Amino acid sequence: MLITAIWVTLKLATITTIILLLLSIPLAWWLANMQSRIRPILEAIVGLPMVLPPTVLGFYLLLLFSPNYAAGQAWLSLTGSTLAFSFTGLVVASVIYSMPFVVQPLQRAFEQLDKGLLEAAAMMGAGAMDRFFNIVLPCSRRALVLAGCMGFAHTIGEFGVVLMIGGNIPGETQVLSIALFDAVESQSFEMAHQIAGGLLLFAMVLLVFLYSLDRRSGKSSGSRVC
Amino acid sequence: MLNISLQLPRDRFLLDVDISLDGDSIWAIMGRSGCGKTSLLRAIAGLESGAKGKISFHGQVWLDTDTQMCVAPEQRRIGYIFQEARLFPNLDVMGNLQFARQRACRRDNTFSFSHVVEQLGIDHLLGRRIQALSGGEKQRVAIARTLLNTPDLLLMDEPLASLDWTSKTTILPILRNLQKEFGIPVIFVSHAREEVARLADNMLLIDHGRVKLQGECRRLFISMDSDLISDDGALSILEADVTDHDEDHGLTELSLGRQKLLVNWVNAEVGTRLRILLPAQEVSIATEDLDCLSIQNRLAVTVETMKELGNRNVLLSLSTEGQTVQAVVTCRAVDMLGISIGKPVFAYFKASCLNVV
Repeated sequence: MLITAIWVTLKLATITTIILLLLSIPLAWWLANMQSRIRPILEAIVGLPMVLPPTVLGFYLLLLFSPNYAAGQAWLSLTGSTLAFSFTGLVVASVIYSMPFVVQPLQRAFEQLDKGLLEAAAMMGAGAMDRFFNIVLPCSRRALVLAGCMGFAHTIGEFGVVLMIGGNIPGETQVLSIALFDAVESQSFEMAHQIAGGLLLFAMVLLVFLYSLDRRSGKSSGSRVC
Repeated sequence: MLNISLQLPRDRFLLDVDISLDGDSIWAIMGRSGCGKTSLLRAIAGLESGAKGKISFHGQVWLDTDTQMCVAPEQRRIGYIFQEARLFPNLDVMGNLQFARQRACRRDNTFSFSHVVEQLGIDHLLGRRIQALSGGEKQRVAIARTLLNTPDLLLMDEPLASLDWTSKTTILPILRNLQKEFGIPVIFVSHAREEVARLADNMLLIDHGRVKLQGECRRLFISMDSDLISDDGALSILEADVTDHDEDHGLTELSLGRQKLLVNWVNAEVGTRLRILLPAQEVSIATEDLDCLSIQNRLAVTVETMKELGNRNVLLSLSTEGQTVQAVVTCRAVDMLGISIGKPVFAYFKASCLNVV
């Protein structure tokens, strides 16, 4: 049971992180360079999961996934199954729930990037895509690592949303945080210790890695941008 | 030929210029800071999105607001050397050079890797990280990077402003050589009179977004209203031919028409035409020919114009052999010597104060 929960959790966090990076990199670049007055509104929408109780998000997602509404209906007719109480549903929810933790560090790095470098690259004949892939992304690699780690760790730590829309199906939607809750409920404290201790250790190791990364690159480059 | 007819609103004025610059010489854009020099250069490069009007280079239209035409900066094939080097920190020196080389428009021998690297003296830096370079080294790498991109036009925005004196003296001759060596037109922005005198053949003087003067540096330096530029001292630009070398005394003899000049040893063949800078503050005036003086250079000149400067000094323009020498003297000296327009006098200056470019 523990192994299955670890497998589901890691699979969920990995898939979520990959999807999040693919979505967040263009989104963060767009937000960072946006002049429009609707920018704060978009930033607020992306940032909502940071302040909203996870259960609120879970509740609305549950409604959205339900075949009684258009989105859930469309998904059902397309795939033949519902999103609620499925692994795919968990991925969708995790992407939304962890998005601010990935978008925000990226957006900050993109905003701090010296635009003079991009002008210099343009004068050498580098087009927009060329500049993005060969200057912007390499110069933001620390933020990329940070964003990926934050997205991964935050997905592992989620509980409320999973409980609302995923339930507790072993091998499908039972992640470690739910398994821990389950173990405490059924008074299997030995199991609870293993899960809680493991998650604590994981969080600690990840944070030490992130902070040492910050220190290392800060020293070697001497610049905050790259 | 670069034709520019351009309007660009700035905070305090409208940059409004209508000019044609020929492509075979080095052009300087001069003016006080905040007068619109850099904006003009950036507009030529396509980096100012608010620019309106027409810009064309050798018949190729880069901007035409009437027909909604605007060629992106990356397609203009312009080399732009910024005030700061703007090297890519994620790449080392070699990586920066290769970035430019891979995106070069042409491959010809003038811009061969070894030639550019040798010209800028950066071969020992190739493996270095950007963070380990000094300011002067960074700027030399930036210039090399721009050249390796084989641009059709080179723009430079105060390329020496952020450098110390030693770096300046190593980079100045390189910049002076660029146009000759690589055969591309150069336009650069500067507010330093001496830098312009050393580098440029022609210049534009800009004030509050408008072109005040345009033409050959040598002539404009004489007629220029000195309060239009930040004043680092009036300066004359002379052209003279090498006639002889005095090895015993380490001097080179030049001829300015029928008159002779001595300068510190110059490594140039007899017959070479040199450009010489002479600061007006260094020139003394005598009404008689003196022979009991340590000062080596004496030119017989005629007073052409006299202009009183604010600080009880007078700026004299003195003509000789079709060229003009400027001198700053006190009002008292003018009165005592009876200097007046049309009067023949002698201009004295030390060999060591002449700067040979």
